[in-house]
Amino acid sequence: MVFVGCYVLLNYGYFKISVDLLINVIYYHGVVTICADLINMFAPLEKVLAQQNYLFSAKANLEIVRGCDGAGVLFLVVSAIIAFPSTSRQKLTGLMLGIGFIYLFNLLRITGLYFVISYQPEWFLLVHIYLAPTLMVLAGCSYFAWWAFGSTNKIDVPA
Amino acid sequence: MYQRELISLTLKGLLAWLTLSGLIWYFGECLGKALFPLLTAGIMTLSSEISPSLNLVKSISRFDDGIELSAWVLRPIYLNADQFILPGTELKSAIHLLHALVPVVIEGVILLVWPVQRWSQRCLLVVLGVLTAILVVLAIVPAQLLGKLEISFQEIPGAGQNPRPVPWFVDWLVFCEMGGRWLLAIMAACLCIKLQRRLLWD
Repeated sequence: MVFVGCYVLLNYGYFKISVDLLINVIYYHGVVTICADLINMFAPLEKVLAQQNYLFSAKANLEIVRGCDGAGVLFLVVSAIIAFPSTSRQKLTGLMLGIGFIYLFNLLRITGLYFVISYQPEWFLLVHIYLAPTLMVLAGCSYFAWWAFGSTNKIDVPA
Repeated sequence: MYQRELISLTLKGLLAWLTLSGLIWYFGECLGKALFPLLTAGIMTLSSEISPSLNLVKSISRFDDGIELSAWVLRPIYLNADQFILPGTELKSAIHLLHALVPVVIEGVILLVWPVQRWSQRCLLVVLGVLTAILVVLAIVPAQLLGKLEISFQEIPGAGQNPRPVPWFVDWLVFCEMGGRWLLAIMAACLCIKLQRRLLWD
């Protein structure tokens, strides 16, 4: 119940974020600019530009919208860690590492999607609607299992 | 020690994911069609203004296969005080089949890698998983198809007086699309694990 409650609360808070703030600040500074830098670093010929919630180039135009930003998986991991019986210190560590992990995984997903839409556009739907969501959720579950195993091992050490 | 177990669990998870993805790839169409009667019943429960009919729209690549709702309007659907959709009009909305089956795969992978001691426990988990996966799909797909229709209606009423109220399943659709569908899949897997422990506890 705590897990579901946390998830619903986080989801509610997410919807309270204005579109302007999401597009012009969070997506632009937190996602799009970093993905553009990543792509330009590894493939300088792409010459990708970041604008609001868009990744532009001569080959593709990728829009990041609410719901396609990895927030769903992030909320699942955060809620699971909060609901799991562990010490505050373990939870804090789990949250920081988990948020970082999902954030990096999501940057990788968006960067990957950019290359898919640029070079194999017919694969875009498969990657976007099936491969990426299932793998992201399962990566989130694996991270949670890793953290939960570690925290219970430390808690259950006999005195 | 637990590092080795976790690596083994992760590898099992990847294997389960590949297996289920293969099954969805080859049998997704049959699975989708088999669920049509239940999905149609779900749509009829949610809305009495239309007569629904579902069909599978196939694409060349198979990535774009979709479930299409053809809805015959049974009585006038008022969009606002001045505008309404005439009875007999056919309305359509569609969703991607693969996207609809994502929660099933997530739930399936969790249940296939969950550590158990006996095969009977695994079998029970799989049986419970199939039953709850149907419920998860039923909780998502009818609302998604109807919600998409409703969203197209909602773009018109804003302009007129007495706009059509937004039905609850549009909010549910948005919740599911923002990741709620994954929550449902994980909750369904947790429910199966609890039931299995209660029924076959060592």
